[in-house]
Amino acid sequence: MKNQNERVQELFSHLPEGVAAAELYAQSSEDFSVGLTNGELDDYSVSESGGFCLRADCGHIGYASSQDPAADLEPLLDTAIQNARALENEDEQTIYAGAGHYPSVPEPADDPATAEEKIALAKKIEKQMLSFDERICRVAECGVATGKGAVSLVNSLGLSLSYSSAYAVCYVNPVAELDGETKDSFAWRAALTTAGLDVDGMIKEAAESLFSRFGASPLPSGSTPAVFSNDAMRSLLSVFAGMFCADNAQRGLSLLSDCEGSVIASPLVNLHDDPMSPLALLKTPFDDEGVPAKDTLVVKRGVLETLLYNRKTAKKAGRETTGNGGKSGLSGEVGVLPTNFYLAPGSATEEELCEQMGNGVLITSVSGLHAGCNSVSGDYSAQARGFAIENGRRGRPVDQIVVSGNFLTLLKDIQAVGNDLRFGTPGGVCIGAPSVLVKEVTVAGE
Amino acid sequence: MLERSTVQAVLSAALETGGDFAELYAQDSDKQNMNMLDGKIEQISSARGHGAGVRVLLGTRSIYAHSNDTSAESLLRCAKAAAAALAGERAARGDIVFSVPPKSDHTPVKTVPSSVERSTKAALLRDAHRAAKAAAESITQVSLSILESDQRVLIANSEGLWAEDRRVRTRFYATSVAGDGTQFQTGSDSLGMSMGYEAFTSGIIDPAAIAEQSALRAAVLLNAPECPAGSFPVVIDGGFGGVIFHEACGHALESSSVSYGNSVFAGKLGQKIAASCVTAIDDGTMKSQWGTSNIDDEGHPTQKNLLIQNGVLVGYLIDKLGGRRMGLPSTGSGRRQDHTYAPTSRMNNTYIAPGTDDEEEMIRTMGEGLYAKSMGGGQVNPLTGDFTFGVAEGYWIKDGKILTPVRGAALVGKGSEVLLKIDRVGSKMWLGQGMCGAGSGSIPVALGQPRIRVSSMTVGGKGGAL
Repeated sequence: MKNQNERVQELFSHLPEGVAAAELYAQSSEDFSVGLTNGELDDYSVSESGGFCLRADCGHIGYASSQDPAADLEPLLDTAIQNARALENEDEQTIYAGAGHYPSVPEPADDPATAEEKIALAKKIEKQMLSFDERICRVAECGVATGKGAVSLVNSLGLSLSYSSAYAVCYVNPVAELDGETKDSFAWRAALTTAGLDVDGMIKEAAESLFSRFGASPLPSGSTPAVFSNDAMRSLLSVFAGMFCADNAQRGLSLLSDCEGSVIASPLVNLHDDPMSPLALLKTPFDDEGVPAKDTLVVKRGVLETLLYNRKTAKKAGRETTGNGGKSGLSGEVGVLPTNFYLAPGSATEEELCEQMGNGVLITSVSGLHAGCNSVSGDYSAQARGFAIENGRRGRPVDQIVVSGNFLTLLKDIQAVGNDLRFGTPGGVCIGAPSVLVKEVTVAGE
Repeated sequence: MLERSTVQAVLSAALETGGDFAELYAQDSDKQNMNMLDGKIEQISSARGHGAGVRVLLGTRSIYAHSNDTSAESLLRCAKAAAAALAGERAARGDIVFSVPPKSDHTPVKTVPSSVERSTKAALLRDAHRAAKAAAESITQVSLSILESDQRVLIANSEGLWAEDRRVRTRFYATSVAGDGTQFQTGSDSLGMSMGYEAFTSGIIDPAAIAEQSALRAAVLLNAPECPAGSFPVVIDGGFGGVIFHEACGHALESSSVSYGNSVFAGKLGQKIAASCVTAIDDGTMKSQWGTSNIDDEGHPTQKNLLIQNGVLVGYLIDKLGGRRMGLPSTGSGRRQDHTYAPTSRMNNTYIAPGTDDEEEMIRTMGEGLYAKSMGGGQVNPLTGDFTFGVAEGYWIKDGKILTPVRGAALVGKGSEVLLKIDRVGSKMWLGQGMCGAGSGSIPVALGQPRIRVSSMTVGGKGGAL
């Protein structure tokens, strides 16, 4: 039996008439996870996954994908061609022959931790969490997950690229009951290997977050200055990152459509998209259409320098691609996606931001974002939790409030940026933000 | 899909280290999404999903291994990887003899969607596009999609079950954007059924009406003031309004929450948890409904499960593992997106049953508050029951009359408290459809209710008094 590579080369050397070029995108991964629920080994999962997506350029580009490693390539190519021929849009799109130079990503080292050691680590997390504070009555969930993956891109124009990555993640979800109230919290850490996981830091964060939730009450409704913690700011930026994508802008689905070169945020705001950022855990040397990675300064001192482009949207706008051609899932077309997209940190700590604010609210978490946010209008309305800040100091805990406003107004209202940049879970689109001080948000509470 | 002898060998290998139950789930699916943007076919994706997973249970311990490679060699490797997590001795048992239990057909299919030409579907999308553009002058963009999926599953286990099912689903989704030069508003509507392409040709799914509805929703929001914030009575319409029960209560009734004590409703069977006018049901057998299937993803026949009867909690949603934890039988609720997930307890078609109240009276007598005609998505913390929902189409009510549409409204509260504050339940129930994401992936569910009224709820918004 021929291997996949030979089958692909054979397919590419006999492309049917009318097919200018074809490309195979393949991904594979091996993942392991172990989880404890209330102390019992409850989740234990081992997986191999992968698949490939063929695309064919017949004037329009058509796609077809399969997760079956034994699938024949010819019928898949035929489906891709039929899909291409049914398309009616006027966008010019081609398959990419490649650039000269690509950054190199080191081959990830094998994680030496065995399955037994990962189970032992999960048990250690639980034990350590319970003994951290006697008021913690149980650990609803905790666990460890590791994995490695590879992506390759081969096309009939001679491009052949690949890279590999690896990750380790741990998490904990402790529960405490005080005076008849039950609360839980969640914390996680990520690293390149199991040994690199900062378990102590995670336990401490989970406990602090947990005990800060008791005795919380809403704030009175009205307008107030606010500090958004790094996690809260990241959640908001995640929802609205799509605004910075040129495909949304060109479809009239972004308020930033005609704003390149204009001030869209406070001069303290610098937004980067950098697939190779040393600040982020995972690095990707090329995007999903083979364009080399580079650091894009999207917003510089409040001015929108550029949107994020793939080759198709860049061509339409008469600009250069920013290397943000991204597939959401194996079967999806190459759209525009952020990579490591982050608000660059400033110099103040979260505490100093609160001191600067004086009186207001520190928002440590927002939730319900997919319910209360409109990525087109920029309006957000989210359930929030945190602390009242009185004379620059943390006062009583606050919950059951809804903060609302417009994301672009929030960016303009940023009065200080924290130094505590933190990224979300690694893999795919990875958003990062530090804490920020915002002039005013609307709070609905009592 | 797979040879019985292969499956026997895989299940046997999975039990080698002392597991007391082994299950193989294999699936093969074809999905096609066809999208029209502004009257032109913009995107078509064809995706074949494929793979299998082996689950081993020992008491309430669960081990899962899966692969997209379904060769006998790969499946045996999965079985051995799963078995390796246990260190016991094989319990003596004889050969597994498979039998196929009888099953009902709640989801008959006439025309498999993949048999219909792309050009036929494109024509249907074009008609719907025209309807949306004609609905309001402010519509700047219309995005329409036909989503089809055809999934074949095989579930076999060490108790001798051999069950197969085919799930064909068809959905139409419309999003319209209205703009006035300075701002945009979006409106969406959709309908999905467990049917083939006949859902369109028989008129059960009317793409033009759905596209028009999405456009009207967007246009209405364009001139709407921001919703006031505070505590108010709220009337929530039927159909997708049922998302409130699905998110705030349904998830907390799943054994994956209840059996771990991570639910406000744990240990409350037989107790009053809702107002007496509330009866709630999850039914996986409703003919051709979006969340219906003939068997669940553990091979158990789906059933109609009474959850709350006249305000009293009478049942939970239970899968096999949850049943072991709770000492209760499965309710046919073990579901999963595909082979990449082990099954867990999930909803199918969940609704608040029709009551006896008058739909108009409940608005007329509410004084000042919010009428949530169409709900957006939401999320909930199952431990505490805290939830947030977006309101996709809302109207401000003053003196019992509609004053104006409002935008940016959100509903915030606790499931356990809201259930007790329902003071009206209308007489006509209908369902909406969506994808529910949780522990075992993204699965199709329907949800619904009649029009209901909650005597007081926190309304989020950034507007002043109206």
